[in-house]
Amino acid sequence: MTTALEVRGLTKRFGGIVVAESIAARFEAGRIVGLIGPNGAGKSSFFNLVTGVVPADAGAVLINGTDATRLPMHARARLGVARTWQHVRLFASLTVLENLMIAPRRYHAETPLALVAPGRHETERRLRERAMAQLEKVRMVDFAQRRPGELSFGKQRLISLARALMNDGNVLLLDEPMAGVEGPAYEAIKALVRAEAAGGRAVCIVEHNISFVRDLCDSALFMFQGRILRAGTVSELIASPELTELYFGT
Amino acid sequence: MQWAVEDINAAVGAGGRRLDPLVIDTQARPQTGVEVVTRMVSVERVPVIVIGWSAVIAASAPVANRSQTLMIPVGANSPRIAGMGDYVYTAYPLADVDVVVLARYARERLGKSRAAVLHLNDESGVYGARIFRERWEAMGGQIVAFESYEPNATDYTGAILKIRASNPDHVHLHGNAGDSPQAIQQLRQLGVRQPITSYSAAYNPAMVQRLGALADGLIVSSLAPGAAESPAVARYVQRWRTSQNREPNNLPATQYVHDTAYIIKALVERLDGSNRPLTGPNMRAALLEIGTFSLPLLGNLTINADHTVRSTVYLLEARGGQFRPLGAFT
Amino acid sequence: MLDPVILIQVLWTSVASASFQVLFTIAFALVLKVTGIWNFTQPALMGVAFYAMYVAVNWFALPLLLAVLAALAASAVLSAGIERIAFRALRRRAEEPITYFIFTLIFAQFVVFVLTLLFTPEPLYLLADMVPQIWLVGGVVVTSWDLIAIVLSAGMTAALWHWLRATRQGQFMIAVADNADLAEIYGIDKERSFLAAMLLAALFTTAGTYLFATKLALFPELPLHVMLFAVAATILGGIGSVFGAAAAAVAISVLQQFSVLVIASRWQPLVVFAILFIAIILFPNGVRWRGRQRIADGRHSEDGGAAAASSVTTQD
Repeated sequence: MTTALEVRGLTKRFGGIVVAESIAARFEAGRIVGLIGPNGAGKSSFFNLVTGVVPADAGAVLINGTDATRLPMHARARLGVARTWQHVRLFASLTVLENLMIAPRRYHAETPLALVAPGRHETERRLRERAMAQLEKVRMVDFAQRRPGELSFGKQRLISLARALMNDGNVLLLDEPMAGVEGPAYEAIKALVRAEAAGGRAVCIVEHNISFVRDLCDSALFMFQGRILRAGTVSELIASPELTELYFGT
Repeated sequence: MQWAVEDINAAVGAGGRRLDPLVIDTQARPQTGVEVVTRMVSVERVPVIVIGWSAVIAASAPVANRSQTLMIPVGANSPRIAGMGDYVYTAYPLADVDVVVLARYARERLGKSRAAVLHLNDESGVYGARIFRERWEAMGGQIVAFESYEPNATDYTGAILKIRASNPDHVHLHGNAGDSPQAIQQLRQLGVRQPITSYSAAYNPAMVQRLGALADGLIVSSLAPGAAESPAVARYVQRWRTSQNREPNNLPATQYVHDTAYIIKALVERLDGSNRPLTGPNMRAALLEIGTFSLPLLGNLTINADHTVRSTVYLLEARGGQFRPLGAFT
Repeated sequence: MLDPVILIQVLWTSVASASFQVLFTIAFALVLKVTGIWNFTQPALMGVAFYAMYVAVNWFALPLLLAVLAALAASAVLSAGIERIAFRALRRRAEEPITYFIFTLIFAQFVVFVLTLLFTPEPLYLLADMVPQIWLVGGVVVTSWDLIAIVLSAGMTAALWHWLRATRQGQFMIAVADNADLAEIYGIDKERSFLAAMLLAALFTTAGTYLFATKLALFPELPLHVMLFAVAATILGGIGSVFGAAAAAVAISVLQQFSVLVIASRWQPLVVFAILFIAIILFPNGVRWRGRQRIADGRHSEDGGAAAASSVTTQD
C-alpha cells in the first residue's frame, strides 16, 4: 500500500500551549482514517501543520515521499494535498463554478503566453466539465453561477467539499464535513468519501459525529492535548473507558 | 546677463574693474529666495542684487532693506514692488504701465466690453489682474469672469470652461512666461476664440508658430523696442538664434535682464570716479544720482526716485504664426 | 439660463479629462484589492514613467512609441522591485499596515526628491508640439486627444475586466484578493498574484502618464497631488471594487468640472478634498448600489451565525 502522507515528530507550540507534540502517523492511499478527540485536542491544528498554514517547530511532513516541511502552502497543494475547513471558506467574489475551476492542482493558462496557446479553449472546456461533475456529485449543479454568499451554510459546505475534490492529488483532509448536514446529503457525502478513497486517495476526517466516523473510517487516531494517544478501529477506541473519559469528560 | 558681463569685461570692464556676478537659482520659490539673498548679503557681502519673480522679491526685499543692499528687480511686474522698501528699485516697468495700455487698447481700439480675466494666483498675477480689472471697469467695461490658477498648475480646464460659459468678447491673461503659452493653447483648444491680451510673458514666438492660426488674435505688450526698431536688438536676437537655435521667449524681459549689467557698470564707474566704496548705500545713491541710463538694447531708461520705471509700450499681435507690430503707446 | 452647448462641452471635457484619472485610480485600487496595501509609491511610478518618456523623446530623440515602452519598462522594474524587495519583506515580518503606509509615503517622497534634483522643479512638456486636431461638433470642441484618451482608458478598463473574469491568472488574483492564505491552500501562489497586481499597476500608471503628458506639463511633485484623486475615487467606489473606483473617478471628474458653473475655478481642487472627507466619514465602504450580500464564510450577514445550525437539502 502506498503511503500518501506521513508525518514524523511533528511539533508545534504557541508560547506555553502545545498544539502538537511529536506526532507521527501514516496515511495510506485508499484508506479512510478518522481523527477524533475532545475540543482543543489539536485536530484542526494538525491539518494546519500538514497543509502549511502554520509552520511546524520540529518534525517533518512527507507528501508522496517528498519532504514538504519547508514548502509553502501552495506548493503542498500542488503536491496533492486538499482540505476542507471547519468554517466554510469560499471566495465570495467568484461564482460557485469559478471557485471550483481555480482549485485543481495543475492550472492551465498560467502564463500570459498560455492565453494564446493552441488548445486553450479545449482545456478550459474540460476543466469546466470536471468542475460540473464535482458539483453533480454534491448535487449543487443548479447553483453553479451563484455567488457563495447567496447560499445557505449547508450548501456552502457541500460546495467546499466539491472544491477540495478538484485537487486531483491523493491526500484529502476533511475538517468536520458533516457539521450542519443531515438528510439525504449525509448519505451522499459518505458515499462520495468512500468513492474517493476507493479511487486511491488517502482520506483523513476530523469529525465529532462518532457514528459517521465508525460507519466510514477504516481506522482512527485519538488525539488529546496535541498528542496521538492511541490508534485502532473506532470501536476499539470508543470502547476504552480511559479514552471515553478524556473525550466526554465523564 | 552673462553675455552682457562677458561683453563688458572683454572691453574695459566697469571702469577697469572686472564684473564677477554670483549667480544662484532661487527656483522661483520665495523661501529659497530668502535663503539665497540672506547668503548673498551675510556671507558673500554683495553690494547689489539683481533678482526676478515678484513673489521671490516680495519675500526677500526685507532682507535687502535690513542689510542696506541695493536690490534691482528685473522682469517682475507686480505693482507692489514700487513700495517694497528704500533699497528696492526696479529696473523694469511694473504692471501698471503695460497692462493699462492693453486694457485701453482692447476697450477703445477693439471696442470690447465684456472681458474675462485669467490670472496666475501669485504676487504678479493677482496684482496685475487687479490693475486690469480696475482700469477696465473705470473705462465702463464689464468683467464677466475673473478666474485664477495656482503656480505650477498645468491644467486650466476648469477656469477656461468657466470663462467660456461667461461668454466674454475678450480675455486678458496674466500668467508668467512658463504657463502663459499653455494657458493660451488650452484656451484655444477649449473653444475660446476671442482676442486674448497679455503682457510680455506671453511673448513666445515658438508657441505662436506652433499654434499657427489658433494663435491669431493674441495681443501682447512689449516694454522694449524690437528687432525692427533697433539694430542692437536685431543683433541680440541673431545671437540667440546662433547660440540657442531659437529666438528668446519673453524677448523684452531678456533685454532688461541683459541691460541690467550695464546699469551696474554705470553704478560702479560712478562710485569709482568719486572715490566712494562699493557699498549698498553708495550704490543706491549712485542710482538716484544717475537716474537715466543709456543702455544698448533699451535705449534710455529712467529709474525714478519713486521706485518706478516708465516706458513706451509696444503692442504686437499674432497673425499667421508670427508676431506683427501694432504700434507704440504711452 | 446656461447654454446647452456649454453644458455638453463641460460634460465632454470632464469625461475626457477623467481618462488618466481612471487609469491611475484602477492602478491604485487594484493593488489595494489584491495586496491590501495603500500603495502610495504610485506617484513614484508616475514620475519615473514621465521622466523616462521625457528623456527618451527629448534627449535621445526616440519615437514616442519607443519612449512609452521605455517608460513602461522603467515603471515595471520599479514596481516589481518595490513588491519583491520591500512589500515581501514587510509581509514576512507580519508588519502592521502603518509600516506599509510610512514606507510607501517616504519612498514616494524620496523619488520626488531625486527627480527634482535631476530635472529641477520646473514643469516640463513631453513634446514640443502638443497641439491636437480640433473639431467643432455642434459647437462643442472635440480634440484628437479627447478621443484617444477615452478610447485608451475605456479599452484598458474593459481589457482588465475581461482578464480578471475570463483568465485563470485573473481569477487567481480575485481569489487572492478575497483571502490570500485560502488561495494558497488551493495551490495559488499569492506572491505571484501580488507581483502581477503591481505590474498591472505599472502598466495602468504608465498609460495614464502618457495621456497626462501628451496634454499637460509635469513636475516632480505633481504626481503626489494627482494621487489624492485616486484615493478619493477608491474610497468612494468601495474599497475592493476596482471598477467601482473607476466609475467614481469619472463621477468625481464630472462633478469637479461642473462645479465651476457655481464656484470659482480656484476652489476646484477643494471639491476632491470635500469628496474625500465625505467618502471617509459617510461612505467608508463606498457607495452601495445593491443590497448587502451574504458573506461566504459560513455566516449570513442578515442572520448572524444562526445558519450554522440549519439543515441542508438538495433543493431550495
